[in-house]
Amino acid sequence: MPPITCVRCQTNKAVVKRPKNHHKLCRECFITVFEDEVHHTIVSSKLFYPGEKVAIGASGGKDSTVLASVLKTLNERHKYELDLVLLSIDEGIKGYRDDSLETVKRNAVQYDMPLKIVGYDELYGWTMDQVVETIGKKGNCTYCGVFRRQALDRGAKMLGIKHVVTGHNADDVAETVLMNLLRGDLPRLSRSTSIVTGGSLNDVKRSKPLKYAYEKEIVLYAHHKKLDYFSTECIYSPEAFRGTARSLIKNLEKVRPSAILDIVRSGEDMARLTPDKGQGACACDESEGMGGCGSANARTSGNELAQMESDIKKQHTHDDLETEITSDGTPKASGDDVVKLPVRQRRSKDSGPIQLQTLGKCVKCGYMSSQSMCQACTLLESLNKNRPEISIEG
Amino acid sequence: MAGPALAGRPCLRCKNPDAPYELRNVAACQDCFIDYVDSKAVKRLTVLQRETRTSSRPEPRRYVAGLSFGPSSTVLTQILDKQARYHASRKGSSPFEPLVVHIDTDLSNSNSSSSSADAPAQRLLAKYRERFPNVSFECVHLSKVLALKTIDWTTLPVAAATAAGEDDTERLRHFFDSLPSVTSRADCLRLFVRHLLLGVAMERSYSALLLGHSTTALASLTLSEVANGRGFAVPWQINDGLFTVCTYGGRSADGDGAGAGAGAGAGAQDQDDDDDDDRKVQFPVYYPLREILKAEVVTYLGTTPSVRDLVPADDASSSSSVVSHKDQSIEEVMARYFEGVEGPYSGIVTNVVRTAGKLDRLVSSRYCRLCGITLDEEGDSTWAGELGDDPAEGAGGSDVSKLCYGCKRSLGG
Repeated sequence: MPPITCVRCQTNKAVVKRPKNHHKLCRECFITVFEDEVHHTIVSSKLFYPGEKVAIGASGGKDSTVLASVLKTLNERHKYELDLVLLSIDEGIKGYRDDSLETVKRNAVQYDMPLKIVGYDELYGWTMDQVVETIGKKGNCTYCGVFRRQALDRGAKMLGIKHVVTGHNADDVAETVLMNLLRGDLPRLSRSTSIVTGGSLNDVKRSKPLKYAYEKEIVLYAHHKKLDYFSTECIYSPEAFRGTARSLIKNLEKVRPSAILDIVRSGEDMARLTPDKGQGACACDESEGMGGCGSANARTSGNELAQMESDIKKQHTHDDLETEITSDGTPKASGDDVVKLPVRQRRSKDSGPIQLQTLGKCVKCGYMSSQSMCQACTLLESLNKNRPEISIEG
Repeated sequence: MAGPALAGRPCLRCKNPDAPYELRNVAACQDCFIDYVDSKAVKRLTVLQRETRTSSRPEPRRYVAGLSFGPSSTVLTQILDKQARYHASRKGSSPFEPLVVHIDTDLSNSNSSSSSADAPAQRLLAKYRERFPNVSFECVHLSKVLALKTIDWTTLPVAAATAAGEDDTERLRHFFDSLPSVTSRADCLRLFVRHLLLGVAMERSYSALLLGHSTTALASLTLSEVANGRGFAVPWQINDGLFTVCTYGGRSADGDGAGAGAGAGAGAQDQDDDDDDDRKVQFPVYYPLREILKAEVVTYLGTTPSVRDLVPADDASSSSSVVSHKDQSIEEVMARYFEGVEGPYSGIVTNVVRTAGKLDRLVSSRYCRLCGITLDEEGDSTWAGELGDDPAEGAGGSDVSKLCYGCKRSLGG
């Protein structure tokens, strides 16, 4: 059998079967197509302006390494005129983060970008190793995730940067869409697919230029560009996740590769159907944020369904179903051409307003929060009970 | 069945010590269990009656219900049968006339044999007819979908009626063969069945269409639609209520009106959409079993062995391990997923349905010519997920914009 030629250039031997659409491409064409698609995302979403200072949330893992590499390439090729900086978070996990930070340090040299590392210890007075020592191995991912969200913002502020890009890929976004549907979280559903989050209400905005890039293609890109990245899982994150949204997505991808992109599309469309219409996007749902658990499947803890179920049980009883479902039966009035049958309206008892979240600021540290005290401060308070008083700096 | 924790407990409702069933985490006896499921369904039927009533006078309730011969639609049939008997026995009750329709999706034989009485579907339906005397039954072959005008057949790759003397079944078979994946086939089949059931109900002036989806099936449908790229359609698919049905006159796949359609189309191309506006009808679609979990449906079925034995043994959905992903559809992956989730986490299943129900149903002037859901007028312009470098993409031309993202995906791969 003769070697298959690349469908794009028709000359070179195809070495890559694109996970996204099964097109067979040569190495050069694959790299070009991947970069063109990220460029398309950046341009069509108007992510950057010339001269903008942008921090890349870098963990040393494949996503952020590819992001840094692609952004550097595109910045030079298409003259974005961006001032790119690597920003890393040191959670303080020996045997994991210290090694991955070495990778980031090498990346900084390879890409000729300045690097800033902020540690949990300086921000919160706790390293993750110390947190785990105190609360045990179970549930510590919650602390790590909550702390990391703020850490990136604080790190950016220290650098005087108002825009952080993270390596979230299409698989991550699709996972978030499904998780929020399973969890029944409409506010998060409405903002989780936005390419830019934070922004107006917060000093630092976040964006995900790799939002439409498949995880598998990111791995292939890293491989074919021979990028230097770190691929060990966090030593504290559990490994097997049967029945989770992540494994569901992987199964769907096997059945129909476009499914990941289709879920992202559905998520974007559904965001406009939620009560707050996809407005007020904020970054607080990105617990799987960059610079964290280096492996893809370690981004959600293993017992997510059990956790969700117990949350739901607290909120509702099964009997709620009947009233809620019928509450929204009437179409919106925007279509005047709809012929309306005379329909008797249900009695008013079932039209309870759907609660919208309001964004405020944490009374202790000033970080955005829908509660009076932000999650990080709440967690810190419980940690600090047995310690002399410490408050967040910065 | 009652879990170990509940074993030996008396029924929480009537204190009957013989309570072998588990009902939403409490023990229940058989009577209370049946009563619970019945009342959940009847409650939805009452809502349907209230929401579609057009005058204060009692009116006949004529409903079409879909029957796939699966557990859920069989239970729906059983409940409708009970209801019809109950209403017939009461003098003051308005007539309750359910018509249960099975769509025969067997395309392996040509038309003539499938409509005859010895087709497998017909034989099975005869057993149902015998068991449920208070309900009328009917079998409609899938090929009849080609005569429907609620689908714009010009947007689909179906051969014209006259070509090579093919009969409808063959034409449909060729259409399904031309689809790119198992998922696409499953998706189109589901849409066709829905259109056919709606067609029967509307053609004969029935007042509503009932579908037997359980909570679990609705949750699974929700996520399947999301994975098919039809997130926009979810609130229309999942909620009870009025559903807009468009007809595309002169364009049925039979080609009978093809000449007239072409003539009229040439003169009034620009007013195409306005033409369609005239042919929009609102029709109620309800899911009476929406508050009953799949496991409860199966348990309910088990309480009446004579009914349970009607349901053909299911060889596919048993929780055996997956052999090949290639032969699976997204629908099946989702069904399997929720099968696993429902047992320990039933709250999540109901939560998905509840969440989907809270989403707005946006109305626009244009509708997808295949799935019939309102077209998302903003979605394509904000979508940046594809470069559009796929050469096959541009070929469809303007016809493609008449379909929603998910239907385009199903037809194009």
